[in-house]
Amino acid sequence: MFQVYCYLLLDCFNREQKEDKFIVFMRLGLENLLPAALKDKVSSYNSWVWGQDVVLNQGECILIQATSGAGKSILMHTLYGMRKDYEGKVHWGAYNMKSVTPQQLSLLRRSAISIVFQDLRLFPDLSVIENVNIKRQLSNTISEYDVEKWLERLGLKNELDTPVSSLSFGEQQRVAVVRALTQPFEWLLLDEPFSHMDNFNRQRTAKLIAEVAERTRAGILITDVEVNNHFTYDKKMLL
Amino acid sequence: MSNTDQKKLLAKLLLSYRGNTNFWLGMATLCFSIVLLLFSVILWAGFDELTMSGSGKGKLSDAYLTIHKNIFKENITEQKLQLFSTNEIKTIISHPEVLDVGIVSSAKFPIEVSFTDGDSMHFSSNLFLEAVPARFIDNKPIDWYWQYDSPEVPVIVSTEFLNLYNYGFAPNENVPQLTKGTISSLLFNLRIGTYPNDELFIARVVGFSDRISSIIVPESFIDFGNKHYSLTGETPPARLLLHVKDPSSSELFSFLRDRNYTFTYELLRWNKLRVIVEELDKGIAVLITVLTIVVILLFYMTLNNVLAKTKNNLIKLLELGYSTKHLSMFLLKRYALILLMVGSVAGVISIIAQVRLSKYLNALHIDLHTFPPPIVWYALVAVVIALMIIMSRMIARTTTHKLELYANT
Repeated sequence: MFQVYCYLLLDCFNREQKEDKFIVFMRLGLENLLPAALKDKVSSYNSWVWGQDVVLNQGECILIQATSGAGKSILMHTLYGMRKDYEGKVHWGAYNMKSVTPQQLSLLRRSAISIVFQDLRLFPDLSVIENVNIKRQLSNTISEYDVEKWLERLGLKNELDTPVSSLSFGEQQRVAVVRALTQPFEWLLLDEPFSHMDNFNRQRTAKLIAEVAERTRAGILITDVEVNNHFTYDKKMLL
Repeated sequence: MSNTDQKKLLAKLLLSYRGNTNFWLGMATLCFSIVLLLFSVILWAGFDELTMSGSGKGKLSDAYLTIHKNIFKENITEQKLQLFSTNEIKTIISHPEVLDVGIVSSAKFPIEVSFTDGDSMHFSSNLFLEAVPARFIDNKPIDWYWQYDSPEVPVIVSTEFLNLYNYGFAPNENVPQLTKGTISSLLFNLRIGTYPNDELFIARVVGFSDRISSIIVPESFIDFGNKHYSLTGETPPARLLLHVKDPSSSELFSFLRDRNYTFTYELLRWNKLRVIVEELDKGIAVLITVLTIVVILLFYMTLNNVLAKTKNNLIKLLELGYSTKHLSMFLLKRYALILLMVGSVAGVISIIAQVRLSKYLNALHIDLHTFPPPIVWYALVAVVIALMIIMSRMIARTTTHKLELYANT
């Protein structure tokens, strides 16, 4: 626990904040994190994450592996500030996610932490390009040209104006990935992002993610049901 | 993508009223309710104006009373005239219900009026004339003045006298009935004084009074006649005209009764009408309150319905990183625009209604503003502001509530 505090204190000194954008060398600190929904279940096995003190450094690529129902999505939602029904603490740099204000949360979400949800949460009535643009417009740091290139790389060039509801789930996953890349981020959270992709699409999507993350020196936290080699992982953790 | 494109996308996701028939029906009903509310305010203001003090045509509150002293048997036997002394007039003026007092000046000189129309018609009679201050005359003609070298003496006759002639005298005596226009076109000879000390003038009826039961001429003519042809000299007035705040005032009634003054009871009829109008006024005030509540509830339910439909998209946008402030402002601007449109349409309809109502009432000789009075605009602005406040709170609550609700799951 002392180690978590030391790292987070260091983050406070490193933090620069300017208007609504900030640059932060942001570590992820988990301190005895225990979700209410899994409290009884978690105590029966030895998790590397639940109930542990964990510090993950920015720029690292970490795989969280767990079987179905072990709480992968709960972990991602908790890290993303969508749930507060847990014991312990989650720190993104100097921010304690339990006491973060709505303004700070939206700031984190549009400039420091990006996510691909397991259920994607796309807007079914909007087209592919509209779904991406509504996220991109928040920060306007990625050009529309780059976005179209990325979509082209993932085989979606001819689907730009297609409503996402008309796409397969695998295609929608690729749209969700591109959408997540269209903002500045220190960390990218990926909740089983390749579950409905074939091997070819899995590889080219992972390659794009790795390129963008490396360029921005961002960390990647990915959950999956089994161990994989989509990325070069710094850590593999059992949930 | 430009900022406009972002707004278009947000509009697609959040403005569920687009193509939503229920929403537009709700807004149409809201507009109709606001119009009803403004109509009620117009009526309320109109009735209120009618019952307020003032001297305009059609006022039901302040009134004019002609008073004189009661005549008793003793007065007749003692040949004592019942006249108002200066002190009595001062006492009357000082009464809080009395706004103004006008002395009815009587002619103290012989008057003979005659009319000749060739051989077909001849009429001659002794007459009495009176004068009142010009400010007490209803329907006062523009040329209501007289000086010695004026070609004619203007005369105002009580409408009651004309009615007595047309419906009492004329049928009985088998003479033609006369209209106001016919009478006004005739010239009369007016001889004052006693031969050989007399003088002849030409007189014309220039108007009819509903207020004063007499035949009146300008005060300057009475002053001239009394000065040069008076048989009795100066005497105090026998009748007074009172301009009072409220003729139904029991305080005023007691004051007049205690001093044995009598006045025309016709005013009581107006008082009854006034009571009815006042009750209507109160009823409309209740109606305004009810309509205000209806407008607010209607708006609340309609907006709540459309906001509920945007719930999922709102949550997704918050998850993407849109701030509650950004989304609130976006929704607020759009709905505020619709609300202003609804308010404007209601305002225009109210203006049309007011113009028509004023024309209708003017035909009934009741004054009403051609355009809605300021209070109607205040009411419209107040309603729109109230709805704006409700709207902003609902939107703020929806956006922040959705965030917190989801965050706590």
